[in-house]
Amino acid sequence: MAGSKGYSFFVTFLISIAVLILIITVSSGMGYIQVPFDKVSRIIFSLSGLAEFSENDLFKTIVLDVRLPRIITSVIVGGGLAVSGAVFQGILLNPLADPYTLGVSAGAAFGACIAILFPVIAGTYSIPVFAFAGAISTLFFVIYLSKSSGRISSNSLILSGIIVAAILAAGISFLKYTADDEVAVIIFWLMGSFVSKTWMDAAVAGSIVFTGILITIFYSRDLNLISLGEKSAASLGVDTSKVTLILLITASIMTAICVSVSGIIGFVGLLVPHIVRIITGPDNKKLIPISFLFGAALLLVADTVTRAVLPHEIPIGVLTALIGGPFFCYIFKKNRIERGIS
Amino acid sequence: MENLFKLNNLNFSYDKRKVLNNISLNIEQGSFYGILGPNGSGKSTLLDIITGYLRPASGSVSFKGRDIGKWSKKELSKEIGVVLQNFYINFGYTVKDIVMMGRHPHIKKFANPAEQDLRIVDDTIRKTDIEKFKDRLITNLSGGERQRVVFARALAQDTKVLILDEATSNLDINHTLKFMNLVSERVKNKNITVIAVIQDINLAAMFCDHLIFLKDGNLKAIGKKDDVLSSSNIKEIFNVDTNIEENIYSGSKQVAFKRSI
Repeated sequence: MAGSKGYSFFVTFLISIAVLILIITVSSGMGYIQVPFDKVSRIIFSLSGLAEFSENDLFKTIVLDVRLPRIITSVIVGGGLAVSGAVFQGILLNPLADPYTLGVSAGAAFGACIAILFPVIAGTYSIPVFAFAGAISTLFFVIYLSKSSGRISSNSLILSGIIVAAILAAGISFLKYTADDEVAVIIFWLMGSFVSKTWMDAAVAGSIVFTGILITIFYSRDLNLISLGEKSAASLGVDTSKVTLILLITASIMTAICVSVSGIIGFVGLLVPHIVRIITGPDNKKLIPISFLFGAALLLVADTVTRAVLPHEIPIGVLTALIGGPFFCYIFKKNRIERGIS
Repeated sequence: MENLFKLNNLNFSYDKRKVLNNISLNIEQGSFYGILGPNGSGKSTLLDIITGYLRPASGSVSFKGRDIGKWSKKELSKEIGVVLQNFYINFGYTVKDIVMMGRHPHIKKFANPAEQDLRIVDDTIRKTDIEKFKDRLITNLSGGERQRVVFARALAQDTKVLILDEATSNLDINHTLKFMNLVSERVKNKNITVIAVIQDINLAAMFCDHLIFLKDGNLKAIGKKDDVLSSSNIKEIFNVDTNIEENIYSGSKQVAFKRSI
């Protein structure tokens, strides 16, 4: 669990942070108006208060007020989804679980549809607030469904999640059917986007995601033991029911805030922990921090591609699924062949 | 001898099906107990209640004079180690990682394994004959090899009580004997207590000091092996005819069965 690989983990961690900062800086310069790399770095560095940047106010506005909020939001969402994915895979003892397995995304989508169709509460935040409420109520209903005599088993959680998600999907179809012009808004929301994200979005998502990561790291060794199965973990001193519930709620709230900020973005939560496990091994103490950095970098690159490279912006959820899906198939097959599992 | 576990009028049901019926028994420290009984007689459920994993519907279990429910999971994990059968895991930990997990109860949160933990793990790996695949991934091992790793993990946990739920049923005869000897040695030298569900009556006869017979959730017999291992008990519990004789080579009573055709 530790020891010989400790040093290489630290190096991996530092390199990942450096790469993420580099990608943030490069992508801040990319877009309709190109900002040179040295200027971007100095503008970002000026945030620390150690230096000032006053040569070009246009560049400063573009980087600090337009691009960085969107970039930081995508970093937080990408990292948050990746960490939730790793946690869900650990709790559900299933490497194919993802943050959406328990129907959290369907709940968020349903909530968002309601907010779009019935704009009772005015204001820009009605969609994320409804999406978050939908996601959280779905989670608790799924936990309630799967609980029997005080215990939560991973199989019943997966089943309950699938059932509830299917019902909500039908509900979403019905809402789309009854909607008129709003259909386009619903479909656009469902495909995910970071367009016009603000510092407010980044701050709200960031505070929840970082709290969540601290909690998951605190329980990371227990999570390792839970993957041995509930009974074995219990015999090794893990209060499995308590830890499972805490991690389940933490990961779901992280997912819910990500979905409500950005819409549904698939494959990050499934793909990233898989790739990172190849580098760090399955130990969650290493897997969780590296997954955050890797997920953050991946989603930021994807968002920068759709924002600044492609001639037209396409929804980020579509892009991650189109690239992530086939790539996942490749990794999955290659890994199984190498390990000799058929 | 001191009573380590005291079970008093235990009852347990899954839904409406009664699994354990009014079980009362005492487990002494420093002894090797075997639990025998037909499939579905409640053996594993009894172990789950003894370890505190399941709560009985009525009745009480005390461990070291204190109700088992009053012990925290963490405290119990320093006292009681468990080996289950059919261990399966989806994540590619190395064999050494898994054995090290047995030290979890002894390592503080966020601390790294101490010198002593590393030494115990290396020691256990050597003694349990899993050294040659200690760096391989657990997901790539055969069922029997995986079982040996799980057994090693429980031995590395270094507890005064060891619970074995058909822990050797996947092992070849060489490793079955190796592990049973290893455990018996700890009973003798370190005064640990073993409670084992065993299907193989002759294996139980070789290694156990006490036998517990269960049938349909009822306690049918409990006592010193030589007192309760009789043809009439086996007939009553398993409904098979046997001839039981002292066997010099194995140093214990051994049971021979008759084929019907």
